[in-house]
Amino acid sequence: MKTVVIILFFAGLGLHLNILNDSGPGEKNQPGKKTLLDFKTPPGFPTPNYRFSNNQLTKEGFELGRKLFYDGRLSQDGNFPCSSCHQQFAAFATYEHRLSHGFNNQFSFRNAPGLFNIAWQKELHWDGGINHLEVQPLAPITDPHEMAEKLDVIIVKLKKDSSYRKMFRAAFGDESINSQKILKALAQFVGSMVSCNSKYDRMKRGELAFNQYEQAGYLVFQQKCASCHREPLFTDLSYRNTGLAVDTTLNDYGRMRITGKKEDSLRFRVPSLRNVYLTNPYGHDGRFSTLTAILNHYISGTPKYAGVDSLVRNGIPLTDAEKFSIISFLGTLTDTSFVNDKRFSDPQ
Amino acid sequence: MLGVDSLMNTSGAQTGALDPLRGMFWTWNSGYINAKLEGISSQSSQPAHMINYHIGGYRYPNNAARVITMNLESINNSDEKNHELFITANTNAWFSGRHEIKIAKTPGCMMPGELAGAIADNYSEMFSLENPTTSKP
Repeated sequence: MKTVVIILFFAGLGLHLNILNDSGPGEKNQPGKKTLLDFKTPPGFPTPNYRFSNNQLTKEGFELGRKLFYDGRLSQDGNFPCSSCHQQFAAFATYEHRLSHGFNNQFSFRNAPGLFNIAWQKELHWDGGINHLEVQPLAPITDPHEMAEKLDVIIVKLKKDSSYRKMFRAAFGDESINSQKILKALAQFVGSMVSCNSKYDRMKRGELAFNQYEQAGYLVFQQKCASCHREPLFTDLSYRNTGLAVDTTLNDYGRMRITGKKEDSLRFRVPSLRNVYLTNPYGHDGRFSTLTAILNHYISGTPKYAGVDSLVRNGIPLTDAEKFSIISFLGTLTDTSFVNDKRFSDPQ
Repeated sequence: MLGVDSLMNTSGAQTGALDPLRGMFWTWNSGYINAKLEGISSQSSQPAHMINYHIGGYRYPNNAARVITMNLESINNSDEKNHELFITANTNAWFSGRHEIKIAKTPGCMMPGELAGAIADNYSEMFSLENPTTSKP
């Protein structure tokens, strides 16, 4: 063995020192100077998974997260803020793009999901690879195909901006900027995105009634779709193989990439159907351009593939009338007040 | 403990030694890289003969954190209050400890799993205490 150069790193050495010396954000603040925000769980929703513990939700933290979300300086060339792939009018998905654009004319690996009701997710990404909301931004920020930037460079850029120094002080008690504060502020902003005011929600609250097609579609949906797309989140947060053959240019095997387990091959997270009219195209790689195309996929079934979820393998029979009514029902999941909510819009 | 425990792997954004900007964090499969060994070797079939071992993982059965103990008996028996410890790390232990790791066969390790566990077993035995000395303040 002729090893010429060896570099060794160990993580976490000095951790005890760190705990002693750094009391973390929040603890140095004088309470009362910040405006606390209340995160409300909508009626009928389960208890959220992310509850802003160790990251007190404040107006100042939220506004800092909002500014960061729309700031191109989080990307290497300045062109790719979070909002370049997560567009509010598309319920924070990328409108009409199978894959999203990133640094140096590259494409993302997967279809950008809409951002709403994120606080209820236990894991993030199509493969569930992200175990906590606060660490999610690290993936797109550092991905060489997406924002392609380094955390220490971002901090240098932000420190030069006096408005950021003021906002970090307001949110976290002092002007210092570190990755933890950036990530916690982004978590406050994105974690606050709640979509719960669609026609469906208003029907549930007794404020209005569905028309006959929507109502018929809702009944078919409950029979044939809701075991995976469970109300009220319209996902059961599980990972399933729905019989989509692997794209040989992407070679994306989904959940298996995270767990290393064969049975997780081609399993992807069940996406929420809220705002589904706004988030086309569909599927982890955006291969379906229309809802009709997806329904046709489920109708036909995929008995010849191994490992496909038993709920869809043999096809889900739907008449043309049922397809029409399901698609009518899915339109009731569009939350126009969410996509027009000024709290979540570009602060510029 | 040599590595980062499961609690700190799943508790969101950290700072200090666990700041992700230190490059010891997997961004696409959340979790800390407990140890890295990078370099070049003529035995490696990778581009530019690179070797890259990123060892981590906190989920059962692929938890790569290891608890190690070092014998500090001579210090315990001493009356001095301040001690300076010299710990030697034997890099060869990564490859030739409890498990034999051949660079020609496995020039890298980039995710949690059996290989990462085997290398963690190996490097958990790479440390030795050199003649503890005492120093006066």
